[in-house]
Amino acid sequence: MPKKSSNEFSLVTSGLCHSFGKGAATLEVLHDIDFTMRRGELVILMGPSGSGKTTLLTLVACLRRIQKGHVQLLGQELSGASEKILTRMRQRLGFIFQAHNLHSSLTSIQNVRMGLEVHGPDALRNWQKTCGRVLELVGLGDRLDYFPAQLSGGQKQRVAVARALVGCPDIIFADEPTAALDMVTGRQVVELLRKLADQRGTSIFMVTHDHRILEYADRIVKMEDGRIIEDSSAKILMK
Amino acid sequence: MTGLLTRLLGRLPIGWLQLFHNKTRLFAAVGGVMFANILIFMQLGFLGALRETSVLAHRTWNADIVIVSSDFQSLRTVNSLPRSRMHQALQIEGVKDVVPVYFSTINWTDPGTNQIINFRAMGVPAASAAFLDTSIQEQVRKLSEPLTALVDVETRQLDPKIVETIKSKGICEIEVKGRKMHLTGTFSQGASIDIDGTLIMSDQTFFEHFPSRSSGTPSLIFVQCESAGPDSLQPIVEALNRVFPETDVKAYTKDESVVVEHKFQTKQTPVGFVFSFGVVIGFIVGLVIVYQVLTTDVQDHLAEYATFKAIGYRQKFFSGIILEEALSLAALGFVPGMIVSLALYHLAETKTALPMEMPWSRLVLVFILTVAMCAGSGMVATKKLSHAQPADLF
Repeated sequence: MPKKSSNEFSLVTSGLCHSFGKGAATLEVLHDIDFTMRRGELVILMGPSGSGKTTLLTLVACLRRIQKGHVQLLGQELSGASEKILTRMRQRLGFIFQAHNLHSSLTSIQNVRMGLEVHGPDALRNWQKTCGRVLELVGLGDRLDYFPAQLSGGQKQRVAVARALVGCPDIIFADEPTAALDMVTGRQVVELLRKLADQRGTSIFMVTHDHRILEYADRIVKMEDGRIIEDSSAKILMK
Repeated sequence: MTGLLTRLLGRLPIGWLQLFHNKTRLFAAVGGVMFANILIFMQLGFLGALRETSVLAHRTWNADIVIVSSDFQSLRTVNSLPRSRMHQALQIEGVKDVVPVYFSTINWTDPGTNQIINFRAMGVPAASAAFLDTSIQEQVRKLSEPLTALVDVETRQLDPKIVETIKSKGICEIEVKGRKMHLTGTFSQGASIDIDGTLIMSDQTFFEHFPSRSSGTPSLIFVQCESAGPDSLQPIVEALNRVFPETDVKAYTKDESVVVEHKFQTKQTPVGFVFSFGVVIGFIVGLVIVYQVLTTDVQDHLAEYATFKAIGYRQKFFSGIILEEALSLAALGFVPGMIVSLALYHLAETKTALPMEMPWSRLVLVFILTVAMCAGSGMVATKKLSHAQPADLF
């Protein structure tokens, strides 16, 4: 069990393993991962495909059950946690996925509202103002009533970012958030995340292949074959 | 509407928005529910007409209690009983009068139209008070004239010329199985599924037409009591059943005889079974269509639902969306289904001379069935979502 203080660290894993399949076909994709992330830190996780990045992300983000090892997320042990606790934890997180996963029947502002509605009726007071402001923040103040089909790929991804931000999450998990974006908008999205980390102390955990955004990271973690092979401060790496 | 639903549900009406976003699917689904509704409404309509028309005759009877043969099932297959029971009944306290009634059927071919009409012939003593309806009762006295009869104007396929002749000349002469019959009056009762119409005649005329029948073997005995309250009738029915040998005849109140007839028509005739079966089929068709639409809809939005699950929405939220879709479909399909059914009822009524009525209870019943059908399908459709971990849904 990690003894590190949960005030300083938003995420601590120790001895985390994960495997897929059953019996003889069992394949272990994560081996003994020890990893920490501080509050307000922007960590980028890199590695070739199949190295276990996304599996690690889904495990620590309460999207998959822990099989072996421990994960402490915002002070809560996830290993063996009930569905109810996992659901409550998810509500404290923000997610940005590779595909935007916006609901096609909802307008931009309604999609963003979904990120707020999960916190209950109290969060919905002045929801139009709250959601409008976040959409303005991502540069879509003039696209509030557009359906996803009427937006470009970049715009859709920014709506998804707004949806992740609107609930003021403690941690944001992002899986290839810039994959569908051009350089300029990709940069804008990551700059926005950087600002959140600095101003609000939000921790950002990002899986990416995109080398153009590495300069925004505090730390870069590299994975290969289910192990962390390098964990370094970004500034050292850049040199 | 969206604003209203948002306020009502305390959340965005995603189910509703989802339904309206895909118009083709919406039309297919509403059409399906509507179709199922029409099917159920029509079958219930025919079943109701079957029930209602089978007791149209009963409603005209001036009888508090009827005595029937012990094997009695329905007016359709009525057997005769000994006349002596009539005199025994008169001995019971509270019995005011008794009337022997004779039933049989005649197939009459109208020479004018070549149409075969299946009449139920009813013979009553011309001096008796066998009918509640005074317009019929007044005409019955005149039936003491030999070979006269009253004809039901609502008889199925009855040549309107016959009714016109009766109205203008006061008499219309027809020939039934080689015997003359003078139609001297009309009344209004209505056809049933198995009988096209009714002829009312005196018992003497009845015996002329059915030589095998005699005054010793009536089909039914009407019993009129001094007081007709249900409390006073029941002891008399019990007293009658005590006096009569068990294997011979039995007594029912008129209301009981209506219930017996309904039960026979809906449970024991093939027609009753066919219509009841149709209701079940309609329900299943609706169930399958709504299930298909909702599962396709869940499938199409799986990625979005997984996202919602990932950001912390509970299972209850998804069941809510599907239920909302199901209930919207129920409401949207029910209204046009009801309107089309009412039009079809009207059409069926003119085509078959069967009374197709839409009682409130049927509207409520079918609406409840529709909601149950949609909600049931919806619940099965959400099952796919309930056990999946959000990561597996990507």
